[in-house]
Amino acid sequence: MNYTVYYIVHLLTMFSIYAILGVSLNLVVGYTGLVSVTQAAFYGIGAYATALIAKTAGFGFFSSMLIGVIVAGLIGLLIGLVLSKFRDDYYVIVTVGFNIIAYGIFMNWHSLTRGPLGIVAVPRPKIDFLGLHLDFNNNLLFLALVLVFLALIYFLARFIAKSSFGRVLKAIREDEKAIQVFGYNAFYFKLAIFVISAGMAAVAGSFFASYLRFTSPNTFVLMESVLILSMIILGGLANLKGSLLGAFILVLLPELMRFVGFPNEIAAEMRQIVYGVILVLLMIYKPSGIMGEYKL
Amino acid sequence: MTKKIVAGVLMLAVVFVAGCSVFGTSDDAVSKPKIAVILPFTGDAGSYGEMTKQGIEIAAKEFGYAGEVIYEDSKCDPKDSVNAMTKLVSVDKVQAVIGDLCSSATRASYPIAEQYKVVLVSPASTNPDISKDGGYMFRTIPSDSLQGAFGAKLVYDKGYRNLAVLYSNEDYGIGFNTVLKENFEKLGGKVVASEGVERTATDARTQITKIKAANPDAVYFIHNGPSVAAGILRQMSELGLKAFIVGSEGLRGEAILKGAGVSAEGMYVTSVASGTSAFLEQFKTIYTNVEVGPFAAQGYDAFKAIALTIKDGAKTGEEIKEALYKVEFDGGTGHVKFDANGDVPGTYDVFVVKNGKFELVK
Repeated sequence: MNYTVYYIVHLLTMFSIYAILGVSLNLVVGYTGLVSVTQAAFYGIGAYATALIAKTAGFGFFSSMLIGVIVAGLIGLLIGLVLSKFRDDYYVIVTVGFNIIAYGIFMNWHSLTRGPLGIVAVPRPKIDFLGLHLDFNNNLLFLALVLVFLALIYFLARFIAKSSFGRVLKAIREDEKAIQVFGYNAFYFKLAIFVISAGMAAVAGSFFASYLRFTSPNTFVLMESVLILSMIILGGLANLKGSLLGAFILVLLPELMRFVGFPNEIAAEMRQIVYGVILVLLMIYKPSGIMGEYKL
Repeated sequence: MTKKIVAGVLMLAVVFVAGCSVFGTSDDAVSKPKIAVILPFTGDAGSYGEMTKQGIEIAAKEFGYAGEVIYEDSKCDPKDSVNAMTKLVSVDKVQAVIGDLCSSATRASYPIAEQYKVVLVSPASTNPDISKDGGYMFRTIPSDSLQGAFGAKLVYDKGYRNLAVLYSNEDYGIGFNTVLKENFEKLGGKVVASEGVERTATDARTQITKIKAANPDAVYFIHNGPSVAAGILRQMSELGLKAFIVGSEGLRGEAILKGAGVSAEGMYVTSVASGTSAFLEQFKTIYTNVEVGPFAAQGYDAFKAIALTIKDGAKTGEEIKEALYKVEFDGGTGHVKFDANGDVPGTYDVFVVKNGKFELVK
């Protein structure tokens, strides 16, 4: 196999992980209209849960991922309860706060997370089932696994969006008071979608930790949440295909920049500048995102 | 409609240019093993990356590699470092990589290097755990376990017995702090306070106040973000902390002198040797107006070590690895020889800030 393929496989894996994050966040931001910048916190909870449980308790990847999803869901429930007291700009600021708290915990709970040292040698998944032996140390197989999960999450999200539940979410986004007049309790709907989204983000975290075989707090900073939010705004809010496209562009763009052939002295800086300029241009020409159906 | 077209054309152009170079470079025959560098060139550690690169460039010219070294930016972020490493081993098919600067980024990208049998030589990652990472991991900078011991002895020999430590809360700071504390207590001193501060946090007043309350006669300040550290030094003098201050090597930089001003006066800095006089001479002839940065000599040595093995006939990463364990030469930091862990023994310099300049203490 051509070596270049490995790089492409790597980038597609990174894309799939971010696509899961984008789809999960789009349910909250795009469909329900709640601007949340705390997705990296759930992403991190998933990553740490998998890394810790798989390494110390010796559980398999899939059971530790499941535990990660449950933990993220429970924490999402608690945070969602607090968030239900806020709306609009205040909501955004409170979500920022939660991301910072989560980062602070990853960074400082040394006995559990090893702080900034991070957790090394996180195992890759293995399947030994009915004579089927799959070792996901092979990156191509790993990509296939992530793609399967991306597809599952994508269709689950699409199912949610198209169901009557999803229609209520959109109604909350358009006019929360009006939908309550019809007898829907917006509080439960908002809480439910927030918890679902948190669980989905944890799946991405599990894959990330296991793929890199390493996890450290630096990955789950506030800017990561902003990056995920940028992906779905760029791709288009309330459009799941848009989330995929947004993740695709924002993961690949900085990598493609490595090949443009800037002179050595300014290559690194130019990458950042051009990346920024392209984002600005896209927002000028397509303020609602490339496939957006809703604008903040 | 025109807007759509403009946006579309723009995207296509980027993808096209990039695509061309991806597939254009993929089928070159391997004639001379390629050497690449992963360092932070942007972000808060960007200045270190640039300084290290200067040393690497000198060695590259010396060995006829001018213009052939591939540089990738990692921003000291583990994820970006992994992206860069994957690109280098698969697209560029390099056989040896110099990098990364931050220990966490080095550790994240090392498994890929090992998987593809590519040598990784870090000129700056000092975390003690890196010694155990694997056979393809080398470094031209001594592990923190050595600097911690050196620093503890320095403070003790100056007659101070109550030491407080302010360290940046990351693998580098924590590793350093642990070793420093262990050694200082072994010598018979007492560590009265030990406070961590986030590497990017510009305000450390809380920690400084706590340290002041513990009444230390010396403070060891471990940090490797110069612009942030300069601000913290200023806060120390604002809050009236009157102790003898020793800084780790990260505090030896222009940014400290400019940013901290008088607050840095009298501060001692322990630092890995900035280079032999021969290296400093050579550096001055090429970079006339620049001070030698902290990792320039280590970068020079990293490149020289790899280049020497290639000169002796090593072609693949595996051969370079085997040869690196045997190579021995006089480099920028002194005599270089890797031990079984790929580590080098440490030599350290002590500097003092006098009249806004670093002066070497003999």
